[in-house]
Amino acid sequence: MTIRNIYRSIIEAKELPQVVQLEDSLYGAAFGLMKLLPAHHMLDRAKEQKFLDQSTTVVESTSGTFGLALAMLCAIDKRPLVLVSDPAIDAAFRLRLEDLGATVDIVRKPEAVGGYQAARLARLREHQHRVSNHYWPRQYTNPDNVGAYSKVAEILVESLGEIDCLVGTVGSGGSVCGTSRFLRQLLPKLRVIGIDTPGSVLFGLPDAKRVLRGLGNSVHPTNLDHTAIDEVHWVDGATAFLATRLLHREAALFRGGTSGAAFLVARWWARRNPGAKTVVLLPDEGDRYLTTIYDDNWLEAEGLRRSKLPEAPVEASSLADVPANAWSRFDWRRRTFEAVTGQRYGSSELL
Amino acid sequence: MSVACRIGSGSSFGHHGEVLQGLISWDGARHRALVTMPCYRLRSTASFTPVPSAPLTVTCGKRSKAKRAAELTLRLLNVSDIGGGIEVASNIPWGAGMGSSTADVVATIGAVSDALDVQLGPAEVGRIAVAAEVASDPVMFGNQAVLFAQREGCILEYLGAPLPPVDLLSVEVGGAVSTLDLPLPQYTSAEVEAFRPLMGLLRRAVYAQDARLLGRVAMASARINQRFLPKPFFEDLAAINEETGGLGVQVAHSGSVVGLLYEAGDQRGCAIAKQLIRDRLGLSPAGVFMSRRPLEVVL
Repeated sequence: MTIRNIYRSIIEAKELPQVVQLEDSLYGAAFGLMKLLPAHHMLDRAKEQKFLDQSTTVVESTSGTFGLALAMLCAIDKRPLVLVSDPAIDAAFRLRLEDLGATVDIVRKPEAVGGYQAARLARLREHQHRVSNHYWPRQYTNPDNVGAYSKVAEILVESLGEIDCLVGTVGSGGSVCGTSRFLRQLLPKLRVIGIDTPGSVLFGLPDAKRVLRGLGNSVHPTNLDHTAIDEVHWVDGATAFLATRLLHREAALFRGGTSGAAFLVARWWARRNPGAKTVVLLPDEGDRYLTTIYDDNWLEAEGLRRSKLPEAPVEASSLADVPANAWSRFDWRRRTFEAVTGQRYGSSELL
Repeated sequence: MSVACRIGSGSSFGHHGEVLQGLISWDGARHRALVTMPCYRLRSTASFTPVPSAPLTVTCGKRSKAKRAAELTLRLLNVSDIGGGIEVASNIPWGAGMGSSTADVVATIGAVSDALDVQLGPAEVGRIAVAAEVASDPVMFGNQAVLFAQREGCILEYLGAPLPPVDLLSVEVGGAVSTLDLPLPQYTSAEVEAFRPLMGLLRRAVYAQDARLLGRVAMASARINQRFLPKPFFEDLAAINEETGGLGVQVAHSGSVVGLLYEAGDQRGCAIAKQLIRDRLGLSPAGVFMSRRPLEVVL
């Protein structure tokens, strides 16, 4: 018998995914706000190691959901939080962060070298000098980001037993590399599919403007372990947005664009491998995208409205073949970044 | 206090090490905890012949923990004027990490309480056992699978059923150890996290009574343990287990035995593995144990 206990905070109640059957052998791990899990674990571990006392200010450079997760945690802890962001942050999201008590500091000018990312880090350093008692979680390099996903692996094997394939989007590397590392202790043959987007440098493409946000990166996080990845897909914005709408219309799952991209790839793989149990990580909900992905007029105006999903990805035999505006696939085969691209990984200072 | 006395008897299972042992995050704190692999044919039995105003004596070698357990039980039951003889018999190998010590202790507690006509629950027996020997195995719970904090004497989680049945080819790989002489493993934070999915899959294994899943959990825990008390021949035995259609390898985490797991009734796999272990490694497997007595239902 299992007894239902209280949650000691909304963080505990919301940080773990619900596992939902989407098709015969396809299951979605649907998070309310995925970044709560690593943010919570990183702060807990920092407290354990005495990097964080009751009055420590948390500082971070982010314009995404990691910032929202930190803001929720710091509000409950009654702890000051400084989030450094850039003008791309959306107004409603900023209001929510500030209502949680976060100081949102917007840098107005990109640096000549390194753009907004560099400018944000320079500003972050200023805050660190100003506040002597501070803690910087650093989700791209902090191993406790990866370590947080033991709980996801626990839920997946507890509810599904053996799993054949894990599909997820890659941004910091935490969710896909963490979940798969913990799963593979038990299931060494697990196949892992990582999803990126054109314009992201994570798997060796040149840096460019990205339409689809919430995955991909313009820097190289050390938390991404390329040797965990069997296969990489790059999903473009327009395709991901249509898949997001399909997920909503057909499965009533109201999700963001990263979830759409992940669903598209996972469904394709699961249908080609019937009988293989496939799990797709669905990172966050759709509320932030009502006026964009869920608005046909916006899609039309941006030239991102599509009526039909491609049946299959473009097969890229080398990174040079990866198209900028379509869904494509590449056999990474658990190789290092250097082995595939011939370039060094993680040379960027911008972490 | 004067009490009705008769000759009491008690018994306990031994086990073949653990399916899982580690540092478990539970309700915001970390606990050293384990899930044992029961072997119903391994048993300790004890009898207690009470004698008023006599000293307590224990026959059979160095059973000092059994004597302490008897004293603690008498004290708990508020009996001060009774001693007598305790006899313990066991077929559990001593010092191999197979629960010989706890089984003696639990059988003794059972014999003493039986003599005094008192029924102790497994949780109470567990607390006396830990007081008598510092760290105990959860054999007092019979074959019910539990996650047990072996140094606190308390249950962290009831898994709700016995482990799925398996057959187990037992191999002594050498280097018997005394549990209390071993340094406590210092797990990294990544290793502590790693035990969560192991518990997740173990819950599914018990719920679905799926021996394959049990084998995966045992194997993963054994691998983590290789950093602390590495078992010689571990990788060779794992390879033989895989070649012969086995489910995984399980170890006594602070002992000297390794178990090759097979579906219950897979005599062929066990027999081939036994021969391969002799031929390739020069070891003599001790034999095949069953984790549970096969059900014999006569209609």
